[in-house]
Amino acid sequence: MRDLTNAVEWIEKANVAMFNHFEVKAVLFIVENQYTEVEGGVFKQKRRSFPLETIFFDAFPEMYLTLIRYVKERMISRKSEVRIALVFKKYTKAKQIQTEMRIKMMKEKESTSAYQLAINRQESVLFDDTDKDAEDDRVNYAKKKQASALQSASGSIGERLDSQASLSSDI
Amino acid sequence: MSGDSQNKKKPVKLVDKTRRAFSISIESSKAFELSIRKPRKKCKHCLTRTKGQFQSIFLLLIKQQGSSPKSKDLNVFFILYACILALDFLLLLNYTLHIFMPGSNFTGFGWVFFFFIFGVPYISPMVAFAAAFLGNPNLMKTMSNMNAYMITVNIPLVALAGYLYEDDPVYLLLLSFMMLVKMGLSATSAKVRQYLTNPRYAQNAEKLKKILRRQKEKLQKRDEILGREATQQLGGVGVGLGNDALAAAPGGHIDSNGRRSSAISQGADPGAKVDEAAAAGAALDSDTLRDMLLE
Repeated sequence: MRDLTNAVEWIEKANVAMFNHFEVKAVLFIVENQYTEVEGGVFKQKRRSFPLETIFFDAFPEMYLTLIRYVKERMISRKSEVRIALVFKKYTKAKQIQTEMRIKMMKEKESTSAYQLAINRQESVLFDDTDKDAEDDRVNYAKKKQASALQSASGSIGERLDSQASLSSDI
Repeated sequence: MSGDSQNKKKPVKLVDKTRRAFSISIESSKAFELSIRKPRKKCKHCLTRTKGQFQSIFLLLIKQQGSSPKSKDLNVFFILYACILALDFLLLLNYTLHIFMPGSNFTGFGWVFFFFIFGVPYISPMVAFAAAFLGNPNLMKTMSNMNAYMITVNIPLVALAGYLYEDDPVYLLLLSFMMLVKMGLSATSAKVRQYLTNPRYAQNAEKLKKILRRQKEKLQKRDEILGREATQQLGGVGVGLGNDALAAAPGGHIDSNGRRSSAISQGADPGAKVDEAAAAGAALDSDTLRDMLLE
């Protein structure tokens, strides 16, 4: 538990020092794949993941404890495959401040049992409704290149059309 | 009915276990969040928890993995390793003498110590010595595994055999002390092993801390010079926390990269009054300004 905390803290330090400048952040994920055999050789998969960020664990320490307990149980019972993954995601300061404010508000409303309240209300602590859109907005340089190439191509076509139009009008 | 059957997802057939994928989407994170919230109070969960506690005790006492040392000076660990190893040798010598001094002891219970996992009590300290002499972390790992076997299998069986043979209780105490010494040796060797596998860890950690401290100071200096508002604008964060709010601010618009650029830099409104921080930010390109400040 302590080692995991240290690892997460180091990754966040590295984010501040290296990656945030390029609008990218590294996040440590606990990923879980659960396979249930339906019939001979056919499996049903459940894929889950959990981002480890200190902002959530500082606010809701009981969530961290529950997570550790859950992972321990899963690993001992060998019912699922648990791995740790380092994921690079898009970073925007605005989003981070929004998240900080959201958590602060949750804590201010119910300081003692904010996490319990979220459980009772069946609310997600990690995400809000706006996060759905952010998921598609991934940092992908291949896509960027394609987009820029398309843009330049459409630009040149547009220029050609303009020049043709001007020529026809001159004629 | 037909619609339901169409909507129902077919289970995926695993072709190769090595070609499996993991999901990091928001949906999968929400699913994980829900699953950790489920109450687990059944008997099977209690049993798993108990098993986990035993396993953690076993790992902490016998199979320590260690963590990289944070200080550059490791003489304390080396001396500790040497002392514990010497003590282990002494205990082994003492017990071996006890096994062989009246020859009947060997046939009574000594054979368990000697043969049960063949020669492990004697090979383990030798491997520890060789590992220290060669500075080999793999040998240290082997020694730790041997010690784990000894603690879990060998020593309890010898103690049982000695008890049945009505051996002197002092030697039972000696066996338990030997167990403690072996635990200590495993823990110390784990620390030394971590150092041997990554000798520059402490230096690198110190350097990284220094870099981070310097960077923090630079950011603080930037805040002092430009003001918090201007630095937030440089970072792409406005009062309203969104691009719309930034764009709505007087004399500003958002470029394609999401950065705020002032109208003055575009030459649209040269006579507008802005504060010092905004002027500093507007006169220069935000990237150039950021680089200058970081320098």
